[in-house]
Amino acid sequence: MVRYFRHPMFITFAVFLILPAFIMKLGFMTLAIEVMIWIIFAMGYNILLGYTGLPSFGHGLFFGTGAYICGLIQQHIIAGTWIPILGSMLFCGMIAGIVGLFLARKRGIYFALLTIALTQLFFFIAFLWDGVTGGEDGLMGIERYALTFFGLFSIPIEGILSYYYFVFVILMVSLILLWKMVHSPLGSVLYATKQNEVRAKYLGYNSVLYKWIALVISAIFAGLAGALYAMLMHGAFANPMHWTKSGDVVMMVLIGGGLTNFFGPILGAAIFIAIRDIISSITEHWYLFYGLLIVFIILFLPEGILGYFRVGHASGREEVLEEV
Amino acid sequence: MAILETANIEKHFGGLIANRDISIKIEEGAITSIIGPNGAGKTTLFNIMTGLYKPDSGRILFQEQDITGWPIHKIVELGIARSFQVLNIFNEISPFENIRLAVQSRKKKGFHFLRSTKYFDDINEEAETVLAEIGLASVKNIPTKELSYGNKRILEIGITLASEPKLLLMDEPTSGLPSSETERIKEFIKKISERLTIVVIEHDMNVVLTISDTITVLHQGRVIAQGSPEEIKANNQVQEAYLGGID
Ligand SMILES: Nc1ncnc2c1ncn2[C@@H]1O[C@H](COP(=O)(O)OP(=O)(O)O)[C@@H](O)[C@H]1O
Ligand SMILES: [Mg+2]
Repeated sequence: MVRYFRHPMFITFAVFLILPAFIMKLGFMTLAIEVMIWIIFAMGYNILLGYTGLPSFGHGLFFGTGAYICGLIQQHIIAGTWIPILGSMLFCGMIAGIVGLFLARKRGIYFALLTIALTQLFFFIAFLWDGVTGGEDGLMGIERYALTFFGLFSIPIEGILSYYYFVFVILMVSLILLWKMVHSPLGSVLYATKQNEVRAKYLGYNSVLYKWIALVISAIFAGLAGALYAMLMHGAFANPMHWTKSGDVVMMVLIGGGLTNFFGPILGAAIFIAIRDIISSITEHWYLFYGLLIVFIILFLPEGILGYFRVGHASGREEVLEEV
Repeated sequence: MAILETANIEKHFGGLIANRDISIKIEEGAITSIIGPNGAGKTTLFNIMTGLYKPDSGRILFQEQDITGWPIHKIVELGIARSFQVLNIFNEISPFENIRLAVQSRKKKGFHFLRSTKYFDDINEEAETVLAEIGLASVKNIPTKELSYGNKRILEIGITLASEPKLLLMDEPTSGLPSSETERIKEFIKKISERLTIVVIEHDMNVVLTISDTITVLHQGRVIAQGSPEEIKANNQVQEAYLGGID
C-alpha cells in the first residue's frame, strides 16, 4: 500500500488534485491548466521520441491543428465539448496516418527535417487561410460548453475551477492509458524498434507499421491537448505550429528525462512552463535563459532531471515501483 | 527435398560483384555449412535470402514459394530466423525481454496495447523455457549489455530459437569465442539440428567438418564446390582457394 502511494503517478494526481487550494487566490489557475495540457501533449509525444526513438520537431502541427479543428467543429457542426475534442483527436490521427505513410520509413535527421518542413507548411496554411482559420488574428470565440452526458445531466466547465478539474480528469485518464500502453506488448515492440530496428524486423515485426502507429498515437494526444488548449484560451492560433515553437515539446521531454523515464515529461512540462512564465515576466528574452538551461542540462544531466535520479527506466521493465 | 533454393543470384555493389550466379539447394533437416575466405560473399547471400538486400537478378524460393523481394518480417513469418556475424541483440533490456519479444512476435501479440506483458502467461512461460534450454535462466534479468560475450552469442541463438523457425541461418556463430565456448556452440547446433534445418557460415574447420552434412564453398562470389565433408576435403580447387591444405 505504501508503495502505491509513493508511485509517481499517484503523486502527480495528488498534487494536481489539491493544487487549486493553494493557487486559486494567486491567479495561477490558467497557468496550472496549461501545465496539465502540456503534460498530456508531452507524454503522448514521448511515445514517439522516448519509446520509439523518432525525433519529431514538428508536433506543434498536431497541437495547432487540434485547436483549430475543435473550434471549427464547435462553430460549424455542433456547439458542444465532447464531439469537438474527439473530432480533433480523430483528425490529427488521420493527418498523422497520411504523413506517416512516408515519415515512418525515414529515420534520424531526415525524419526530423521532414517534420519541421511539415509543421511549417501547416503553419502557413493556417496563417494564410483567413476565411477558415481567422488568419493572423486566430480563430476566436471557442467556448467551454457544459458537458452533457447523454442528455441525462450536464456539468458546466466555463468557470476556471471546473475547467481545471475537467482537464485534470482527462490528464488522469491519459496518463493511465499511456502507462498501460508502455507496458503492453505494443510498447515493448516500440522500444525494441528504437533499440535495434533490424533485429526487430528479424523477429518478424513490421517495424515501419509500428513506427507509423507510434506517430498516430502521439498525434492523437497532441490533438487532444490542442483542443483543450483552444478551450482554455477561447481561441486557436497558428503560433504553436511555427517551426520555432513546435520543438517546445521536445525540450520538455528532454529536460524532464523522458528518454529514460516514463514520468520525465511531467516534470519537464512543469519546469518549461514555469520558467517561461517567471522569466518572461521579467524579461522579453526568456528564450536566452531557456537556452542556458538547456545547455546546462545537456552538459550535466544528459538524461534529463529524472534520468539523473534514475527513477525507473524507459524500458518500462525496471520501474522502482511495479504495482499499479 | 530442398527447403530453400536460390536460382542464379547476382549481387553487385558498384563495380564489386559480391554474388555471381549462385544456385544452391538447402536440404531440409540437414546442416549445411557455407565456407569461403573473407569477402567471398557469404554474408551477402544471407542478406539476400532474408530480404535485407534485393538481388540484382535471380530468385529465392522457400518451400517452393517465390519470396524474392519480400520484406524481412514477411520472410521471417514463414519460418526463417537468423543470427548475425556481428552480434545483433537488444542491449538495453534484459535477456528475458530479448527472448520474450521473439516469442511474442511468433504468437502475433505485438499489437495488444492495454494489457501488461506481465499477464501474457503463455508468452512468458515459453520465454522461460527457452532461457532454460540455452542455460541463461540465472542471468535472465540483468541488463543484456552486462552479459559476457559468449553469453550474448548464446542469447542471440536463443532469440532465433524462440522464433521456432523451420530454417535457421547462422552467420559465424563462434567468431570471437575461445575454443571452450566454441565447443559449447557446436554441441548446441548439433542438438537443435534435430528439430530444424540449419545453414551455418563458419570459419572453424574443426566445427565445419564435424557438424556438416553438406558443405558449400564460396570464392569471389561464386560457388566453387559443393559436397560432403569428405568430398570437400579431397577437392583440389578448394584446397588451393581456401583450405590451404588442412590435415
Ligand atoms: N552493403 C555493402 N555495400 C558495399 N559493399 C558490400 C556491402 N556488403 C558487402 N559488401 C562487399 O561484398 C563483398 C562480400 O562481402 P560479404 O558478403 O560480407 O563477405 P563474407 O561474409 O563472405 O566475408 C565484400 O567485398 C564486401 O566488402
Ligand atoms: Mg561475413
